[in-house]
Amino acid sequence: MDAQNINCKIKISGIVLDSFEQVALSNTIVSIDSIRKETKTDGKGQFTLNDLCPGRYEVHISHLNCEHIHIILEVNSDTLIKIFLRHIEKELIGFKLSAKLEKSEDLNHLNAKNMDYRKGQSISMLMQDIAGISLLKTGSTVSKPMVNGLFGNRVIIVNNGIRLEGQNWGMEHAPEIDAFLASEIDLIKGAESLRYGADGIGGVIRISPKSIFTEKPKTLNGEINLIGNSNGRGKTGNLILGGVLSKNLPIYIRVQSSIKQFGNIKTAKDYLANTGMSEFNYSVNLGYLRKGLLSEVFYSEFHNKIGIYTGSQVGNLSDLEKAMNSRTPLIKANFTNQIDRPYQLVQHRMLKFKNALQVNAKNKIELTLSYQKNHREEYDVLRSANSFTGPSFDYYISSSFAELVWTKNPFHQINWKAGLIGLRQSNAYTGRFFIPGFYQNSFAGFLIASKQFKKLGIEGSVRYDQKHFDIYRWIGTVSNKTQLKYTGFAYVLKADYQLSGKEKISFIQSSTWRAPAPNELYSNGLHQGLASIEIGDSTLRTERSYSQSLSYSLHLKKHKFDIEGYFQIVDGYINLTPSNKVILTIRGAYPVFQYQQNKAALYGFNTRWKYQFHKSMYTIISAQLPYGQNMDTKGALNLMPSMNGKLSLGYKHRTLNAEVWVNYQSKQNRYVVGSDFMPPPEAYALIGFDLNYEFKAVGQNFKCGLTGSNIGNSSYRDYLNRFRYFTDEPGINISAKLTMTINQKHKK
Amino acid sequence: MNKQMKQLAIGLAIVLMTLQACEKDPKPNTAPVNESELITTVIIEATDSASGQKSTFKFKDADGEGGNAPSQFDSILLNANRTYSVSLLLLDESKAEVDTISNEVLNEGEDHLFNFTVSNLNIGIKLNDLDKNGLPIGLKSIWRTGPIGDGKLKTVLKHQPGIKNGDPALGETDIEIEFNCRIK
Repeated sequence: MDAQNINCKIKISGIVLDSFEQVALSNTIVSIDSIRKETKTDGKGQFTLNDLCPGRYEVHISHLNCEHIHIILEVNSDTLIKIFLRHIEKELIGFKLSAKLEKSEDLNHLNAKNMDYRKGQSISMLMQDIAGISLLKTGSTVSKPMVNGLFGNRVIIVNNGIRLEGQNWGMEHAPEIDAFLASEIDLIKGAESLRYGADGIGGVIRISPKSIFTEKPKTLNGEINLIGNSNGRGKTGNLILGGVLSKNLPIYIRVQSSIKQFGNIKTAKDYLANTGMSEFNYSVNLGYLRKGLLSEVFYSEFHNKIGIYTGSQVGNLSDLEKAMNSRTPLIKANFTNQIDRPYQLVQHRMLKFKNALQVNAKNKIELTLSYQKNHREEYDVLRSANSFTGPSFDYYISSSFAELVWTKNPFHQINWKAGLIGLRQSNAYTGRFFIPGFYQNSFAGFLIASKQFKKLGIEGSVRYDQKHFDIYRWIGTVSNKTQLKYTGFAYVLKADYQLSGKEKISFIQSSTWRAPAPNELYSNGLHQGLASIEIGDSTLRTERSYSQSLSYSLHLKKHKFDIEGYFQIVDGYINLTPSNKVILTIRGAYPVFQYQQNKAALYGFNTRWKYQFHKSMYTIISAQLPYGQNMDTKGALNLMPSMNGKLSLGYKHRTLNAEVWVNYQSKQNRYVVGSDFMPPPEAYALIGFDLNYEFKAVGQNFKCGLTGSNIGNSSYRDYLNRFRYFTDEPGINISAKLTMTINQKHKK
Repeated sequence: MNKQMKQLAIGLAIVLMTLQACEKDPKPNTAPVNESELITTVIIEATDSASGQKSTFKFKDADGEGGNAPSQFDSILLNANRTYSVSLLLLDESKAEVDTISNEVLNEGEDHLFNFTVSNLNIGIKLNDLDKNGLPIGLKSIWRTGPIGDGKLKTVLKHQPGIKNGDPALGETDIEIEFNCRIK
């Protein structure tokens, strides 16, 4: 390199911060080994490297108490960089290395800011901003995530490091998670996803709270959120308070509670009878962090009561036809907060105990124990005043889980992570049969390895599972125990290639599997509200998925473009298929839906383009094109999302952020004709907006926001809503939010 | 926060956690019990008003919707040009103790309505009982048969809480059975 060259006057300057506390790190060595340039950060963490020629450099950053990092920079002009280093001890907390500058502009990630704008919405609603995620709904009160058309047992939800073990199998069962605990949401697709299971063949959605270790001594930290919604006259409140006992006793404490109440929801024209809901949640979090040892206890409770639209509980097929042929809801209603039958009552409790030990600079051991208990009751409409008033369905599931993980992070070599997992689960019910009771004992082991070469990053993982079920079924008055055992391997391979500083491609190839769920094997009964009979098949085998995806990202100053294409074959894909059979009952003939296995293909594209066309204005265009094909019948797969897209126009100036958008959902033309009671609804477009402003008053930080959805108050129905036969989707809703950030330093 | 407050807060948290984790679940091998009531059986009892001769026709599906197929599904057999007084009996035979659901229907007559539809046959049917509000229920009815023939007779029971006005289209269906019917 010729320093005398006229162009060789380029300067790389920057600041080095601790990724945990965001404080400046002085005395950090910043060097470019190839040209033997070296400097140290000053007291403010700042550094400058002068007289560089244009080109690619590997910059080495090291600090005594922190890890070393290497970053590749392509410099053509003066460059300013911000580098976050993690302290070895802080590494225990599990912060990700964030040398990548803007993590938020990712297809598969939602950060704390995204969460702030959506405060008060359900956890599933929050997820839908991630590319590829659609919502499978049951009326206006129940929704669950669908990843590229896959849902339920095929999507793993990880809440606070623990896989959510709830009543995931039911289409009308929403995830049992308090949305106020979510600080970040990721859709994990790489090697790490196998840590949480091999059966997430749709994906792994990880919901992370704000780490307890962000609390500071001598400071009372927290937040108060108040949210009001016009539709349903919803009222939501949330309080978080946290601190550290004292500097000498590093016990971190945080308590949180949220409460929510909604009354009847209104479509563009009518109130929907019995569509209110209420929710009460709380959590307590304690942490201890000192000298390489981290301990954390987390306990949370989730309680909700969800009203189900009264008109959805049809007596038989003729009632269903009558409901479908009516343009307005058959049950007339006014506004009320009262919730009557039918309703769902759900409780979910989680206790987590995590310990991590930093053995030395490279090795870390984590032991996590958790216990979850889920109780779901469903109350149907009473046939007469002397009917049994208890729950019509009553399910219990409790899960004890243990995970031991060893992590080795040597610099410049292969990073390793290995783990052993055990799960003991008991599923029971009282009263009416729909799915059988069972015990599950599972063991799993996984190994993840990753290595970063200059431009190429490679990661891979394998997992072995052994699942053992004892299933209890009753034939007359005799209990019949069936033992089932499933074993299998899964792997994920991922390669990232940095084409330049701005362009990256990655490729993921995986093979994962899922054992049939007890409802798919043995359910046998009337499906509430859909006037159909669902029959399981005890001969179902495991599903095996082979998936590949290719993604490309281009991040320039003004343009940020991401696209991913995926192609997934699922061998033995279990789906509920209409049969030609009808079953004669006292309420007429019911169509029969049976669980069947087919070879299925799921493929499509997700893309997002953000264009900063002015210093304070931008547009974002995103689109999702999912397809599902039954390869045996050469026809469509039912219940796939249709092509959809969103166009947003944003304005950001200082602490004001405004966004207006249009959401478009096309009509689903790909479905099995004759398999549904009603053809898919028409395409629709909805307009919404977000307005957020931050300000300081009385020494505290405030955030206020206004969000509007369906502001055109359109009448529309959605193909992925199971109540599309009965009612329109909700009409206009305006929600107002106020957040007060508490940051009270106490003297002493 | 003073020291005692802090200790109290921790103590409370620990107590809450242990308390909540102790509640006992049912065992997975618990037997199913269908506590909510079912209508498993419909018995049509037709009495020839001239001769006093009784005939009964039955539909029975002891395990409710789904599961096993109905165990009994009679055809209705009537004589031509007669008048029958008909009463309906509804039972829940899914439990050890048989429950007579028609008594409940009668007690809550203002919420229930039967309707009979005849196809391919000539049978004149008139409901012959009244609820508190003076509207028919249909547990009792008078049937006048016409000439010989084969056809169908459909019995529908609607649950119409708070909305009953005599219109058989309203409400939720509790029973819908289409019997084969012969007039000889």
